[in-house]
Amino acid sequence: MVDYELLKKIVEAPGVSGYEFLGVRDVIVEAFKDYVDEIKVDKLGNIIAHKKGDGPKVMLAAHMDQIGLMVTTIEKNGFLRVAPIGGIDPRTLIAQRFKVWIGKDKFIYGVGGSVPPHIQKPEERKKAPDWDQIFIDIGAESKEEAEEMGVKIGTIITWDGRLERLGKHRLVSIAFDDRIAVYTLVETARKLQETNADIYFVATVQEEVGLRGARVSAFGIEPDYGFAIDVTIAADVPGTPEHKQVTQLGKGTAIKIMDRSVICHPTIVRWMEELAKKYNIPYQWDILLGGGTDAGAIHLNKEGVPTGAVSVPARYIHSNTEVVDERDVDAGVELMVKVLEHINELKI
Amino acid sequence: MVDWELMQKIIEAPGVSGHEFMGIRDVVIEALKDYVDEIKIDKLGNVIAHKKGKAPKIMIAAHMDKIGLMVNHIDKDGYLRVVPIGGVDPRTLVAQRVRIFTENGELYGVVGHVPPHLTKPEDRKKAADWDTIAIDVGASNREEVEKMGIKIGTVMEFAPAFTRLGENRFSTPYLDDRICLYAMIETARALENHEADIYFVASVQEEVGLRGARVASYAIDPEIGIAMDVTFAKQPGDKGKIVVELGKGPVMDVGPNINPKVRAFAEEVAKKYEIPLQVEPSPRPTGTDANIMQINREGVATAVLSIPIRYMHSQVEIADAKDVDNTIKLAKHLLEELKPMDLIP
Repeated sequence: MVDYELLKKIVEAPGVSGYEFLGVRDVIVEAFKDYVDEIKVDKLGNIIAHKKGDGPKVMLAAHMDQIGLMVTTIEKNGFLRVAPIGGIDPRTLIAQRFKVWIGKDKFIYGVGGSVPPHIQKPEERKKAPDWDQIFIDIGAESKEEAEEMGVKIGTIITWDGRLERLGKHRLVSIAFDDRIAVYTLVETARKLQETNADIYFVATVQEEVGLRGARVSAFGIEPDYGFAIDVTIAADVPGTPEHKQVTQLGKGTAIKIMDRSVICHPTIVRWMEELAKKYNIPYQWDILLGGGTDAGAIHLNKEGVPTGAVSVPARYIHSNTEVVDERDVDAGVELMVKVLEHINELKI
Repeated sequence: MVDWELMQKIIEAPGVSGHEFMGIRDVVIEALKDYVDEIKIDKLGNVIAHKKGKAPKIMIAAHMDKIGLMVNHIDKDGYLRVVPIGGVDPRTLVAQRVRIFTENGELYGVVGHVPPHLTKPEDRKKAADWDTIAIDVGASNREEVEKMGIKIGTVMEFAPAFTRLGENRFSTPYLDDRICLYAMIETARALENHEADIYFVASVQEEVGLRGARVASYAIDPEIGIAMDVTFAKQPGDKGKIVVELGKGPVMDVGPNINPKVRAFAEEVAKKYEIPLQVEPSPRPTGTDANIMQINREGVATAVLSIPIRYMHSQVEIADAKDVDNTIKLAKHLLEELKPMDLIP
């Protein structure tokens, strides 16, 4: 069972890539502070939470940034034009509510407007909207009014999303990519018992714009082993053949073999599988052709770092309604705890 | 206001990416040497000029390389076939002169085209692409070309064409990024008291992947990094996507690539000295040296200071001298006022 209150705080706090300071950073620092010896925030905004030990130096990374929008122009009639930060499909913006972040933890609402079907030609209705057709309506009548409301060029916008339960085991929320992994990171720190590992829990910034936070934090930490926690695709939905589903909800934590940014160290992959088997932790495999993770940046640090990764299977990622199964989340926490407790047995 | 002579000299000095040693490097060293404490050239050809101070350690980078062309084939009839170095749009090459750097010195060539009389109406609607670009150097066969000192690997640039337009504006190829290189050099020359430990870097190979800035920032290990590079100004055909205008002042980006505290500090300095400052939204890592500087080592607090130009990567880029002047002022005051500061976003 997940800690619903903690998870809610972590997923609902704002923190688009490069703007993690708008809210999520404080939530995560607060969540870690009783379980580690030292917390620092670096010049890019990464949270580096250190639990000291005299064993192998291990870096665990989950990114705290989320995809979002940036205001690029305020039109004279008060509408906002936007560009994506990270990979956003413009089709996911129409008819949505938004939070327009005019300050730290301060927002006003906006909506993603569109032309009603009544006044569209039949052929226009068939076309997916592209960025030229996307605008956000914040209720302002003019550019001046929008500016008075606190909106500027560069203002950050997120979907108006929230955490809810869905059925018996499932959860739906904005930003499960990758806050469900940040939650996993915090829970791992919390549940950890016996280990002498020297552990750096890192909530990274700017993963969605090119694994940038993981790169600089790995440089500073110089770990012996790296582990990334991220979501992976669960395309176990109508219309997708089984061989294209990548993972399935409720079938366990996903041990990553590869994605576009990394081929995980084969010894680590096998060792993680053995641990999962030994402790009866349900697991599945993650082989993802599109998309990368912080593991991609970590394993290339300096002279190279043996790196593995676990993924939380998630449906509908990069939307306002990402869905995960809490049994998979729990399994991920359990596996990461075992990884850290047994890290001395890992022989590369 | 601006030193037109020095500016033109900097803009016109040769230096296609990876070939900065052909001219610009010496011009930069000559222009800076009496104004800094130490100058060195690294193994990629970056010029690193150090103006000593205490803290914070800051790196200012303006790239000195230019986009250009490289000969990859010589026809038996004496035409040169070329590949781009950096983002050259083949449509800008038709009916243009190019300046070729051979073993025997500099010479000129032209890019011909098929006269409209001989083309079908539908062909006239097609944009030029690399297959149709051939450089005519006035030779009648391959042997003649080779005698001129041209080989596979010979590089060329757009021909110089510096032109004043109106009172403050001017047009020339290679405002990207020589106008910012000029501004950086003038900043170094104008600099008075400063606490900051400043490294001015004329970086190489920006146009082929931010390579010079990558190794220079590794060596310098700065706390703050500012790239000086050009940005897009409003122009016909921009579909309303450009917010920055020519003549309205220097530009600083906002976005994930920009440290908000450094940006806020620059804004304060601009306000204090009544320098106009424009804002540009950059939702992605910028296409400037600040991109690679930000992820240097354990991370660098980066910003971009830009001079707006029109028609980027063409032979007729346009800038406004007022913007150049204001950029120099802003950079100078920023460096003079800079004190150790909290850089956590």
